[in-house]
Amino acid sequence: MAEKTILSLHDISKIFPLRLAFWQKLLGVTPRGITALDKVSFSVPEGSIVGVIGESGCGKTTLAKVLTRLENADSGEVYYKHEDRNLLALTSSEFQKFRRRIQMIFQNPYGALNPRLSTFQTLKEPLEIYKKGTGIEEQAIHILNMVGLTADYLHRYPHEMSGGQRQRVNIARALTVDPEILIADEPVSALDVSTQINILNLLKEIQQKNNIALLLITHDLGIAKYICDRIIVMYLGEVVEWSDKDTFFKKPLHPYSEMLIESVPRFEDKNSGKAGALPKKIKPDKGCLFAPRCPYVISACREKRPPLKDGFPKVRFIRHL
Amino acid sequence: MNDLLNIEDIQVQFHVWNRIYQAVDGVSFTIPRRKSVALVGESGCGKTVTALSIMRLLPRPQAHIKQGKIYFDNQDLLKMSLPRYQKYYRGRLIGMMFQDPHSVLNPVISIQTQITEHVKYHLKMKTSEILDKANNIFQLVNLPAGEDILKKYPHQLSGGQIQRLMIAMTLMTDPSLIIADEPTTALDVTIQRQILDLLVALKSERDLSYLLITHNLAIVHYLVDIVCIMYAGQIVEWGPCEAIFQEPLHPYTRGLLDSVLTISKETKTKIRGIPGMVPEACDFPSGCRFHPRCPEKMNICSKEMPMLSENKEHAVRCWLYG
Ligand SMILES: Nc1ncnc2c1ncn2[C@@H]1O[C@H](COP(=O)(O)OP(=O)(O)OP(=O)(O)O)[C@@H](O)[C@H]1O
Ligand SMILES: Nc1ncnc2c1ncn2[C@@H]1O[C@H](COP(=O)(O)OP(=O)(O)OP(=O)(O)O)[C@@H](O)[C@H]1O
Ligand SMILES: [Mg+2]
Ligand SMILES: [Mg+2]
Repeated sequence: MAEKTILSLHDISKIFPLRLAFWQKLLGVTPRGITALDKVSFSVPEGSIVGVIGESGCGKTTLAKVLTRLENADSGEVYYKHEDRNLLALTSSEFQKFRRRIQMIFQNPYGALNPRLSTFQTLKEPLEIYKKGTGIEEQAIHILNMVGLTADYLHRYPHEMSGGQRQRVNIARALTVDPEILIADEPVSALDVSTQINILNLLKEIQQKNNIALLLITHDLGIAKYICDRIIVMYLGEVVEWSDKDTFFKKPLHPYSEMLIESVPRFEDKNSGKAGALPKKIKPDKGCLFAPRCPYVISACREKRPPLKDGFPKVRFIRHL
Repeated sequence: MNDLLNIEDIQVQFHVWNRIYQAVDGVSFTIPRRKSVALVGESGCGKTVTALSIMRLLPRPQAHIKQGKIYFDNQDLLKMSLPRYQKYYRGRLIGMMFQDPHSVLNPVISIQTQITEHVKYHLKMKTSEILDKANNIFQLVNLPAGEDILKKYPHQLSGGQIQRLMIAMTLMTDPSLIIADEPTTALDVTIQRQILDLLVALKSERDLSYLLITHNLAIVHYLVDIVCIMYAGQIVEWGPCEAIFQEPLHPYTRGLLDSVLTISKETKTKIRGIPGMVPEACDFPSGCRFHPRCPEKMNICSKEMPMLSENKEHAVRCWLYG
């Protein structure tokens, strides 16, 4: 691809070990783990909005945490622009210079804010470090206004605000430092539709004005369609489709993507969307991970895991005739 | 009165920094038996505070219920002694799924212990019975049964798993009313759909009612019969689901419906949303609270506050209609 990338990910894997009970260790049970990320590779073009979608528990938050170094990956590499050093291998002091450029908005607006700090205190610190000097309070108010909050919220503590108000403080904090890439984990799912639209328009505006990239983790396909340029679909820790937005919504390639698009509830129509029954055992030991739920499954699928196809859009699926 | 829940003219105030915030201002509605109601409205309009007043969980001492009555099954919930309320109502007959699950789960206690302690407080059940029941309910909400979840701690679960766990815990005590504050926001569409189907099925199987708090208008449709639209601490429109969706009356309701993003919507053009900000709860505009943002503002709107019309089917608080 000729375009410039800001972040490229290569084969990132992460397994959360399950702790064994004492007697299991004595019996020599081999530890199983939860594979949260399985060789995830993709890239984020500069100044673009990439949406990551996928089922609950498929590893989206873990991916975001790995990229911001809040969680260590077991293997894999991440490169930032032209830097030839793997971000994941940097020491934490070396990583410090990327901290400002890579900002994260957390999924859980409650845990992400320090309960002892008022909004002003939360915004003050990054403003002082990165924006130097004058008019910290005006700048803080300006940013609050951008996310639809008045100056009144400057001196409130997290527990004195509603869920959506907290989430907007959270977004405001990430915006204080002019990041180059913003990793946003379900940034608007706690917000009502009209605030949601305003925040999405704001993110899009900032993205266009400052040419920042946005990695947007969401389960809301409506949002993905409204704002994203590219779509990454994850299933059980692996990337199954990587496509551009228009192709994805017109003609999804992977059967799982098809299923996602079909199950979206539509408010015009009460009977839209259908839920496929889940099999008892979701994750097969071998073969295609989606095979147990796939409507097109044939015996070959249960034998070999299909690779992510070369070219673009990419898909991990072999359509057997 | 044969309604399950009856809320009459509730007013909740917060005292912060010598200011008074009128978070909920004269909200009344009823939940008829076997019917469900949704509270819908912009962030900060008072939905959670309304729910917390039913649960008697408003933060003390800042918050206080200035006036109003709440009847559940003809019992006055606000007058009842707290121990009685805690044992038989909160978490037992009235289940609540919180907007913030982490605030109710203890981070250092395993899921299993939290579930058994919760159930034992309300019901006489043996640990083994509780675990059997938990495993059954886990299956209903599509959580892996057995030790996969039970032996874990809250931070080891993903956002969606925690939310399903909250639903499972609520169902453990067989409540007759479930207050669900944004129950599916952290779930992807396929799981969300399964959870909704489950909630709908439970509704008829177990005679459940829901008070659903959400901003997702698409899911309102599946689950509830009556919709109350809130703005700045007041109900501005309520009516049967179909009426609200097909002929919304209040300009605010129409604005909300226009802001919904769906995949069937063309996205080449920018969707504007409702311009302006939700007013501060200590400083509401005069007259109709929505008038500064209203596209159909008239002279009277900034002068006098409209009343909720007395229509028994579909009421609206707007000068356009009266
Ligand atoms: N600290 C941890 N210890 C053990 N397992 C974990 C831990 N964190 C996450 N997991 C597991 O890893 C998997 C992926 O979790 P993750 O939070 O990345 O999911 P997600 O895609 O963000 O889901 P959601 O949409 O529900 O937020 C889940 O099965 C989860 O239970
Ligand atoms: N402890 C508190 N002290 C002061 N004000 C508060 C407190 N808790 C809530 N409020 C205010 O009360 C109003 C209503 O809050 P509430 O939590 O009910 O909103 P909500 O409708 O649930 O919004 P959301 O959709 O964002 O969760 C808000 O303006 C909020 O700032
Ligand atoms: Mg997550
Ligand atoms: Mg709320």
